[in-house]
Amino acid sequence: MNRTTFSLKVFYLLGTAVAVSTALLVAFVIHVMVGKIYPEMHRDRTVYVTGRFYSGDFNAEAFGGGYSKRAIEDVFSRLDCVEVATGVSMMHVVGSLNPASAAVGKRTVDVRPICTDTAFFRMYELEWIDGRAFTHQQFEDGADCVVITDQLARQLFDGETRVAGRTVLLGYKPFRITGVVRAGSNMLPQSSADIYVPYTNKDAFSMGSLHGFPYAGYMEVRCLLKEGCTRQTLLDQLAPYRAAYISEQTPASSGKVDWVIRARSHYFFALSFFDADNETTADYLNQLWIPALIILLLLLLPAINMSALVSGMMEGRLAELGVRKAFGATNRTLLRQVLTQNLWFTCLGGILGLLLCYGLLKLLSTSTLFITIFTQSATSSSLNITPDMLWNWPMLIITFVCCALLNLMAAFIPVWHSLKRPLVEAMNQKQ
Amino acid sequence: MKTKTYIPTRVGLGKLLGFHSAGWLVAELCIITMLSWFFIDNLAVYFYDRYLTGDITPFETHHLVVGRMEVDRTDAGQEQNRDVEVTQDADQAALDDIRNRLLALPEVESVCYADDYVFAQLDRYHWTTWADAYNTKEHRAGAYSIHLYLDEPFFETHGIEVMRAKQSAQSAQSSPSAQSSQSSPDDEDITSNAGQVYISRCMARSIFGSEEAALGKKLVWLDVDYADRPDGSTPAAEEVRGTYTVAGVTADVKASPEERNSLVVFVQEMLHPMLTSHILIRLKPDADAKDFVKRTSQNLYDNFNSGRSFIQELETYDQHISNQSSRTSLQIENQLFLLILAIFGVNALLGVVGTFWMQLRRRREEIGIMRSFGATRWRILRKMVGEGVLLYTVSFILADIIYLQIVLSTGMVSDRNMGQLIGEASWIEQFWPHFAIVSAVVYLLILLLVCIGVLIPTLHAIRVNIVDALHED
Repeated sequence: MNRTTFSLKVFYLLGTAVAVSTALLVAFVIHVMVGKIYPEMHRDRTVYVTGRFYSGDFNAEAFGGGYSKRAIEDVFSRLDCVEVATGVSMMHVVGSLNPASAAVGKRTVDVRPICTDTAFFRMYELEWIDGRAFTHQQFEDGADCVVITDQLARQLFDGETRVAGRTVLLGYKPFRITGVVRAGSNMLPQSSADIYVPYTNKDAFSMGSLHGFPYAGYMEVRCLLKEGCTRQTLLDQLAPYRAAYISEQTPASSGKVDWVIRARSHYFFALSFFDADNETTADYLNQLWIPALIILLLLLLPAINMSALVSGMMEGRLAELGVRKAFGATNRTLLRQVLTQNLWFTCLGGILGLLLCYGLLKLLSTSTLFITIFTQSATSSSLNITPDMLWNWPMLIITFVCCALLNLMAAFIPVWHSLKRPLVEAMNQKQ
Repeated sequence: MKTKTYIPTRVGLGKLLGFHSAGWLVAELCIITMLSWFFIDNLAVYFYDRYLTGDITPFETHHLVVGRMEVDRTDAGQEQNRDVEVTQDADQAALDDIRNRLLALPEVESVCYADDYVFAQLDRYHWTTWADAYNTKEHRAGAYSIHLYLDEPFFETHGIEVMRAKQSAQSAQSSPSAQSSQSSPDDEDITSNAGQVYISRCMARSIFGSEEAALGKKLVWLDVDYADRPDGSTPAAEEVRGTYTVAGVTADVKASPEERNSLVVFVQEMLHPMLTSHILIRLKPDADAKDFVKRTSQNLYDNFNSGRSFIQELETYDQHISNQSSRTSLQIENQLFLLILAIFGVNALLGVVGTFWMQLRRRREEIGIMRSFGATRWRILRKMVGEGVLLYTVSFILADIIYLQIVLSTGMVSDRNMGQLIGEASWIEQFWPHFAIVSAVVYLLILLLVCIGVLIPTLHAIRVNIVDALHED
């Protein structure tokens, strides 16, 4: 191999690595949004439900489109297809529960709260380090109790994590720690928080039903469906409750009464590039075409650059191909051979690209841009990227597909063009 | 049978490869230009709004410090047993005590409690609609509302110039209890909610025509309901939420650094001790704000707590703007756009470098001949750069024509400005000037990149020894 060909191959390898790593960044973002990652291990069975209530001229959607505690207990928890139904407050309660500190005057930490109920801890498989969740009675009483993460515990209590039973100040008000959980990645905003507080707690701005709308409130309902049940099953089972609600409310109202239910499975909730009322198979694919297009563009541009490199590399092989053609090899055979050889080389670049992607993610984990994209808050100083987010089968398969695509786009046309050369000319090429 | 004999020549082969690779490069540059147009458009509009539409802050910021107030609720269990009036008086006294302690410091010139201030929360500012009370349809504008407390030296501490209305307005400002007695027989629409507001110069000109004309006028806050109804109707009903008197006109301040127009309304309200969230501190001209914050923060809680209130943290105003600005959704978007442009830029650069490097390798003999006939290195450089410019210009024209078709059908989405002035339109709001200016920016930026990409291999190629080049085989 002469020096020129070696240089070309090195550039090709590096070009492949860079192209694959940028494409994998996009794939990684999508995987984090929809894949199974601790503690959200049942995303395929998770449905998010919001609602709008109308009564005459009044529209309760303006209050957030959520549900009340009564709706969660009387309706969602009683559905046959629902294994667990939990409510999570949609109110921005960050201010009143911030900052967290072990005592007044001591170090303070800005925290992200999730205000929820006891069912939350059955829905998400949080790992308990110490203690347990707040009890149903504590929830009903709106007690000043909290579950915190091990990361927060270490920050507030000098490295200790077994702090169940102790007191922490949230917004300078004392809360009793009932349990400590292993922190999930802050890239999963639905389940990731620093503190978990009962939404009935008055500092969590818990609200009962809105006047005149018994089921309207400030909670987003999340349902973990039983195996075999679908979003449509959920909607079908909600139908009689809806009918009963409308018939009960109609006599009292001066105008039309309605309860519009919006249920989205996690996939559509997370991606939401396009509205998909029925969530058909076509809708599933539709949500992916924007990230797919971005990945394609991120591969296409380097592929155009690398096709020039492949042209250069092919120059050195013209004589070889010419001899093989003289011995009866067809263009198709040679094309397949060269592309396959190139694919192995591209896969090597792809592996480098995967490693480079991981390095880039580590680097970007402290970037304000990436932090805010994922966490939507200013309280995190870095993204918590766990190995299982990157080293899993979907990511490896996507890496291979990227390599194959890149190989095809970069090499096909230059190789085909080279094979079209007349036999004599090819054999006369000096290596 | 006559066979066709193909005798390749080095020149012919070189040309073929040259055209081939140039074709790829034109395609790549075309795609990059089209994609970059969208991102550069957004960044150009941001740059214009941020840096070319007047001062971000028309007041001195280097001697301003902002602080966050907190309430100690560790004894909140006793709260329900407290007498509310006694509690409120005690809380007020606590705030006054903290203020006096700050004023006792030699560096401090002025202290003001504030619910809100300019750039308090850049990512969550919201707009309200205001209008001339006697002509709500035509004389109206969206504006950002900043709430300030009565009796607090807000403008003086902030350093915002204000032209106040007649003396009666000043008296009303200084005495909250006197405020309700200020209504004249003509002000029959003043309700218990009526108060006074200060508006920016831009707002005054937009609604009332001039700053002087705005003073003492009535301004209404409109609540516009755009909610859809189940039957498909969109009433967009309007309701007057409050009627206010314009007590003064301030210097133009913006709701955020990226706003194009300075449409701000300062609304006065009563101070509630337990809801007081911020404190502004104006330092004397010879004080160092960073040093002041650093020293004062060391024992902040111990030195500045009284009753249930205390100062939780302090930062300089400049630091505050910097922290806020870096985390707004617009900034995040801009950073994302810059990252994407960087990826495109790297690809374009590599493409140009690669193509021209390969081409120049094949043209070494040609370069050798040119050098042997007296061509200078500079002339060859110019020739190569000229080819690159021509190549990119062809790509740009193609890309611009295609992108023009797209924006003609979809419109340009780069203008996310909240406040729009009545009757005035900048180049951003006019299609053809906007398209032409951004196209020029796109062309120049990518052309620069192409020129750099051409220069790198060319500088290497022109250093070749003439004899070696002529012997190139």
